[in-house]
Amino acid sequence: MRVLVIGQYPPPLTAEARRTMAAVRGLAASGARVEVLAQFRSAAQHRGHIDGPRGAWTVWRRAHSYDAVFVLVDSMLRRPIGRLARLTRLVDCLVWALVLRASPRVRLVVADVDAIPGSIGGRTGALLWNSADRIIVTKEYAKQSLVDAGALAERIEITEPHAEPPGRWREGWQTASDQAHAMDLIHKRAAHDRRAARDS
Amino acid sequence: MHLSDTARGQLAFVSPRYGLDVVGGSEAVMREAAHRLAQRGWSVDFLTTCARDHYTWRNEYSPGATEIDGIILRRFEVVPGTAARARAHIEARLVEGERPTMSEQLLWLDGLFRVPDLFQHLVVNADRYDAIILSPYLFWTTVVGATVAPERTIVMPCLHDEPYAQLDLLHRVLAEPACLWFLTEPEHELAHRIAPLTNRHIVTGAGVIERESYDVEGFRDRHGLTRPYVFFAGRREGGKGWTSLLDTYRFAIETYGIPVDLVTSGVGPVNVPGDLFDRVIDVGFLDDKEVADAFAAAVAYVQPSTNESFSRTIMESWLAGTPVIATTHSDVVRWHIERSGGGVMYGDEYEFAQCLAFVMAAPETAHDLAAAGRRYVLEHYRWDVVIDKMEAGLRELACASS
Repeated sequence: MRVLVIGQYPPPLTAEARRTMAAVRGLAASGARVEVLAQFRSAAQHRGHIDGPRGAWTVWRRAHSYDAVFVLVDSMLRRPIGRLARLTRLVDCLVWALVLRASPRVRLVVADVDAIPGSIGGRTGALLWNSADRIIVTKEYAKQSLVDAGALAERIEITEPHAEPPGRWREGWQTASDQAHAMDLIHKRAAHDRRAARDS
Repeated sequence: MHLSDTARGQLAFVSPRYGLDVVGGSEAVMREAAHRLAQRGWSVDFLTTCARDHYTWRNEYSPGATEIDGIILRRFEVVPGTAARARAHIEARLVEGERPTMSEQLLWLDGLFRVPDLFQHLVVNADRYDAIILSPYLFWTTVVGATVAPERTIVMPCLHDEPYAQLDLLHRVLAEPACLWFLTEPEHELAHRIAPLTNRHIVTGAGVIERESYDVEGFRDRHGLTRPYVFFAGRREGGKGWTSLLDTYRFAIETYGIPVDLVTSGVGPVNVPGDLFDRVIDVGFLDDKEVADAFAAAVAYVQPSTNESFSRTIMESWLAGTPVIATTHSDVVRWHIERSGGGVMYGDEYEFAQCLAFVMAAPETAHDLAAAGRRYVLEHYRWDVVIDKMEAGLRELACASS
């Protein structure tokens, strides 16, 4: 399956970029051929507008070329500030709702319900969640929050984030007998896990 | 109201805030130094504002003079800034690498707060003071106060590698006073990279108070803490690394399942993400004794801030026998940890997770690191050592100006 992920991507390594990477990791692990569209091409395959009406236009234009398009919600809504905040929020939710209804291949990824620009709720929020054919979250808590905000429970899918086997973090510290050895192990173990996550 | 003049001389300390309930490294160092110099026979006036909160700068204390433990505390009312929007705009441009004009820089300075009565006091009384000591470098009280008697002015910059440090207006604070007191060698080196410095400058360090005992079990009981925890104390702000700490902590516990909570004390909104509500625990603002117990009860102290000129909290952690997990992106903190051997460092979320795993899985080695950190603090950052250096600086200043 060829999928497009739309969201912020490093550099810089922001919280949003981390969430996009986690989504890419999860999709790749499930066997999908993943491409990324970000605001800056640096690490992504494609570059384009990803938020607001221009982001919605990008998605609508590209959706038919892929089997599925995953849009990170925290990257697709502009961060409303100042006097135009309400209008910005209204326009973004309205336009994205139209695109979501027109393109069933588009799925929303809500990696962190607390990081949704302009909040999760309100009438605009309900419009947005109701328009999505599929919403992907990683936690029951997130699902419940979305349902409370007006989303339909049956359209929300919970996927487990990539996780190490429980307890493995305890093993292998016998040689960390002083600061130098501890730092050496920390670097090696982190590099190994970083590589493993990238390869997956 | 004046304390009698003494053989050692009269000092004015100028800090934007003063109080045991004030959170801030520079403020704590200034307060302690003032009291300890007074104990050694210096006559000390502490000039400050009526503000307690560095977010609002609202006048909360009463103006006027009072004697507190051997010093005269003089509070002056803050005049709130009237150009908050312009200041925010200038800051945004600074972050993007632009260099505002001098008039914009002045607007930026005035945009937060002014204390004209404090300045007036300095202008009228400057001749009474053998030295005027100001800190930190970026507030109105220091920038404006340093212009009154530069030949007798000492600035303790508490400099960070931050966009404000590029302002020409603030470079004058490093170039024009008689002397600079730095808290660490990396801060000193950073100052040299940023601007020309006044000829006389020394690294005094800052002191940390050693406790006689810690109540680990009592602290856990009082706050209902049942699981092991790592601790963060101070200002919960993006600039102090709090936001990034929440992200890296979340990654560590979600990816590796390490059973360690994150406990925090201090000021600023905690903003715990909903899914971490039972793992990130805010114990509120604690007094000095209680916060010392919080350090002692933790499996490690976490220092995620890159904006440090000294990092008093990591010293307090080591004194309490607790190792430190710190970002490698702060020159100052890295310098302390490399010199002391008192902790481990992380560059990203994977290394942070491994640091957590290390302190949880190898507690004996982690304890050894904390012991090394404690030895380091007692060797370099006892208050008597620091005050000796400050007094030497004051004597040198007196010789130069006589």
